[in-house]
Amino acid sequence: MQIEMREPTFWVLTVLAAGRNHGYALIAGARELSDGRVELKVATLYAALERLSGEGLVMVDGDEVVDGRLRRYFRITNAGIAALTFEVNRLETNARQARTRLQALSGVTGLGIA
Amino acid sequence: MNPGDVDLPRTFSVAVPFLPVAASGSMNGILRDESLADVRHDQLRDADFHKMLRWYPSAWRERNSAAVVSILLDQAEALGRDRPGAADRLALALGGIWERFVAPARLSRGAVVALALNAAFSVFYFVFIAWGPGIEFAGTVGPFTNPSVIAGTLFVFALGFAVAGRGRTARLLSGLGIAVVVAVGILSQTFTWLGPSWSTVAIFAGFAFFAVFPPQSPRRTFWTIAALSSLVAVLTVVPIAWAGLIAYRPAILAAEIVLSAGIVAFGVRIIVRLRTIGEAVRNERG
Repeated sequence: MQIEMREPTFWVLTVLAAGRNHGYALIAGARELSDGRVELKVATLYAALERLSGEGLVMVDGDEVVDGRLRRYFRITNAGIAALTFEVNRLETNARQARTRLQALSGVTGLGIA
Repeated sequence: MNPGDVDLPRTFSVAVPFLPVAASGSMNGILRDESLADVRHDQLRDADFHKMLRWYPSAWRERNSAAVVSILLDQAEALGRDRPGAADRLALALGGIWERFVAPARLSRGAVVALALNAAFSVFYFVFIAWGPGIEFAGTVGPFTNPSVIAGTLFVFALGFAVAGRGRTARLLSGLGIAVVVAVGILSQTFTWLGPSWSTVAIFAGFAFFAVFPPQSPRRTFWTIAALSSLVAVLTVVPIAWAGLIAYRPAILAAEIVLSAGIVAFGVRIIVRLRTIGEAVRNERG
């Protein structure tokens, strides 16, 4: 049984699904895709990346030096794509069930849902 | 060249060692005072960011510090800051503590064997030596005759964490167990409690020390475990077996359990060692 994915993991994999990227871009990407709701701390990001690397969901894709700073690039693996797909399906199922019940409720109470 | 001048190479990066700020006078247009001060400022700033990673283990820092500091610098620049923020400092401190003591890590086989023997000895000690409900004496803890059961409990949990792949937590608990059992041993001798004896302290602390600081070479691992197991055998099994022969039958059973655990652990260790040697021989032939 697959364990529910934590939010930092979800956003790291989601950003990497668009292509290889480096640490700062992952933080910026997670912020942008979550409409500013998720602000990954560097410590959280690297803990997630180390764990995901250990689990084979992401891999280091080279280091580059830009303006004297080391940028470490990561990319998602096939196992990472599978894990993200599983999580997306799980979230969609949950959302669908909740929406169905909310629609039924709005029929009774007259409340509308977006 | 004037006394205050610095002989600088034509190109250099921020990675060069600290440079003196007071570079005055003509330098053939290579570098001006302001740019030299900028470099020094950048170096101090980078050093400040590097310091934030001191909570992490050295192996982690070697692997990640350059990339992580680069992200921190990018973030600071984007926010128009010159120093790490308090929230980042706290997050990195907590992250470092997590990485040092909690993050998943496998212990060596020798360390796990040492933890298993320590846990087995702890259970044996709880049941057959420290168990004494109804005894009223200085140093008793609940139904136990002395507080070394606290250390024993830590060692049992340490084994659980090690088996679950939390080697760092296992080492932390083992380290705490050493401190507890040594402190209890000193108090016991000072205030004449009902144990633990120095031999018990040596067994507990010896196995735990081995788990916290496992020897690097397989040969040293083997002989350390052999020495500690022999200590257990000599200090506990022999007197208990002798006492059991005289009056107390369950003690014989306990002695057999400890001996069996020790023998099984040795057997496993020897088999693993022989397999390693066999593989090495096959590789050499192949």
